[in-house]
Amino acid sequence: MNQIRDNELQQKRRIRNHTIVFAGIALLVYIGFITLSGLR
Amino acid sequence: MSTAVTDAAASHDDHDHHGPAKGFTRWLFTTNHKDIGSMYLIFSLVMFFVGGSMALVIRSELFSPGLQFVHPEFFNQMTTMHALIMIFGAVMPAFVGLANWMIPLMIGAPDMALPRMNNWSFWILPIAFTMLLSTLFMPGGAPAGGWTMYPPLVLQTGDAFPFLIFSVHLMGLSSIMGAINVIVTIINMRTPDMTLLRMPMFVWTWLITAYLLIAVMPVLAGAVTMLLTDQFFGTSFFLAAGGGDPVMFQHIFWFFGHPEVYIMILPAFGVVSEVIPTFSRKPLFGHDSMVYATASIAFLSFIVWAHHMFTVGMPLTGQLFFMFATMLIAVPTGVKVFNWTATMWRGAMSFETPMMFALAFLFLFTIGGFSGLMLAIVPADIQYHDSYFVVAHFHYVLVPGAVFGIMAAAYYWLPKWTGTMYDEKLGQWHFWLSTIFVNVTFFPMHFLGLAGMPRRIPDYATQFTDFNMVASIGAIGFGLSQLLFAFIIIKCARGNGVKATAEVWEHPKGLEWTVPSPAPYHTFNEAPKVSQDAAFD
Repeated sequence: MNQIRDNELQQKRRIRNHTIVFAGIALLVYIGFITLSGLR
Repeated sequence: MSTAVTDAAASHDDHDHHGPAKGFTRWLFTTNHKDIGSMYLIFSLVMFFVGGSMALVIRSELFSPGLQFVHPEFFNQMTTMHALIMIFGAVMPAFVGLANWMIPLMIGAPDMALPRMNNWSFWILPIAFTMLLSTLFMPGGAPAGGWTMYPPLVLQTGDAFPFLIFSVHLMGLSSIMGAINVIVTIINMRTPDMTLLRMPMFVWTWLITAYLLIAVMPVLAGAVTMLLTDQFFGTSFFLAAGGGDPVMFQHIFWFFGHPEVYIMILPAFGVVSEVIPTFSRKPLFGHDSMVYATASIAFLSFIVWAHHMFTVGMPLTGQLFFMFATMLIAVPTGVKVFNWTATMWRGAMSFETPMMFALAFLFLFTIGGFSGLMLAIVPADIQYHDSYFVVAHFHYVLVPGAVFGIMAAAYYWLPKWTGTMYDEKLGQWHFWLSTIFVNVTFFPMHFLGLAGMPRRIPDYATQFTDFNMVASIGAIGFGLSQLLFAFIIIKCARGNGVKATAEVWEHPKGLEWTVPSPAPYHTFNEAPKVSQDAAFD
C-alpha cells in the first residue's frame, strides 16, 4: 500500500517538475527573443 | 492483431457512477480529456466554417476581374482573418482535440496529466477568437496586413491592432499549455509496458509536435509583444526611423512560422500512420524509422525559415544554406511516404472513408511537397514569390494535407467516440466531392502563379479570368461538400446508425480499441497491459 502511495507521489512530483521545466523553457524563449532583438 | 490484455476494461463499469455533470457546467468546469477533446473538435469545426465562409468571400470576389462584391480593404481583412482563423482556430485546435481524446486512450492513461490546465487551455480559445472576430466591427475594420503581420504595414491597423495582438497572445498561451500537457502526459502517464518505441505513431508525432510548440510559440508571442511596444510604448524594434529593422521581424516571425507548418502537418502524419496499417491489415512498415524521420523533420524545420524571405535580400551564402537545408527535408519526408507505400504493399487493403482520406493525403500532400521543393530553389523562388503558385503550394499542404488528415482521423475514431458507425455511403460521397473540388480549387492556382498573378489582390488582369473562375467554382463546391461532413458527424453523434463494436475495424492495433465504443467516461483507471502483438515494436 505504501509502495503504491510512494509511486503516486513520485509521479505527481515528476509531473510538477516537468511542468515547471517546460513552462520555464517557454518563458526563457519569450524573454530571450525580445532581449536579443533589443540588443541587436 | 490487437489483443492487448486489459484489466482496466473490466473495471470501467465500477467507475461509471462518476459520470459527467449535468448541463452547461459539465462543459465549463470539465477536466475530463474526452469532454475537452470533444469541445476542441466542435470548436475547430465551427471555426472551419467561419474561416471557410471568408474563403468563399475571397473566391466570390475573384470569380471575375474587377471589383464586384467587396471593397479592397475588406478583401484584405478577409484574407488575413481567413488565415488566422484556419491556422489557429481550425487546424491546430482540431489536432489538440484529437490529442486530448486519443493520447490517453492510446497510452493507457486515465486522463491527461494536467486536467485543470487542460480546461483552461480550451476555454481561452473561444475568448481569443471572439475578440479577434469582434475586430470586424471596429473602426478601421479587422486586421488586413496579412496573417504574417509584417511591420510597418500591420502598424497601420485601426482599433483592431491591440485586439489582434492580445488574441494572438492568448492563442499562443493556449497552445503552450496544451503542449506542456501533452509532453508531461506522454512522459509520465504511459502504461508501464509501453516503452517509448512501442508508442503508436500518432502519439509520437504529437510528442514531437508539442516540443516544436514549446520552442516556437513563445517566439511568436515575443514578436507580437514587440509590435505592441513599437506601436504604443515608443520602442523601435522594427521601425527603421528609430534605428530598428523591419526585416528582423520577418526573421523572427518565420523562425516561428516554419516550425508552425510542421506543427500543423506532423499530427496528420501520425493519423495517416494509424489509418493505413489498419486498412492494409499489416503493421506499419518501419515504425522506428518513422519516428526518426519525424524527429529529423522537426529538427530541420528550425533551420529553413529564411526560405520564406529569399526576396528581402540576403547574402548568397545565406540563400544557399536555406535552399539546401530546405531540400534536405525531402529526405525524411520521402522516408515517410515510402514507408506508407510499403505498408500497403501486398496488404489486404479495403477502402473505407478514413483510408480514402489517408490515400488522398498521400497523393495530394506529395504534390504540395513537390511544389515546396520548387519554391526552395532560390532563383526560381524569386519568380514565384508572392504569386498564386505559393497559394497553391501551401493550400495543397494544408487542405488535402492537414485537413484531410483531420477528416481521416474523424472518420477513423468517430465510432469510438460516439459508439455509432458513421454512414459509409455518405462518407464516400463526402470524400469524392472533397477530393474533386479541392483539386478544382487549388490546381489552377499553380498555373495562375506561374503566369504571374500576385496573391492578396481583389482584382486581376483579364488573362487570369478562366482559371480564377474554375478555382472559385471549386471553392464553392468544396465549401458545400463540408456541410455533408457536418451532417454525417451530427447524424453519428445522435446515435443514428449501426452500433459500433469495441474494435470498430478489423483487428486494428492499439489500446484505444480495447475499451468499449463509445469509450466510457473514465477509462484505464488501472494501467492496462500491452500484449506483444499489440505493441508497436
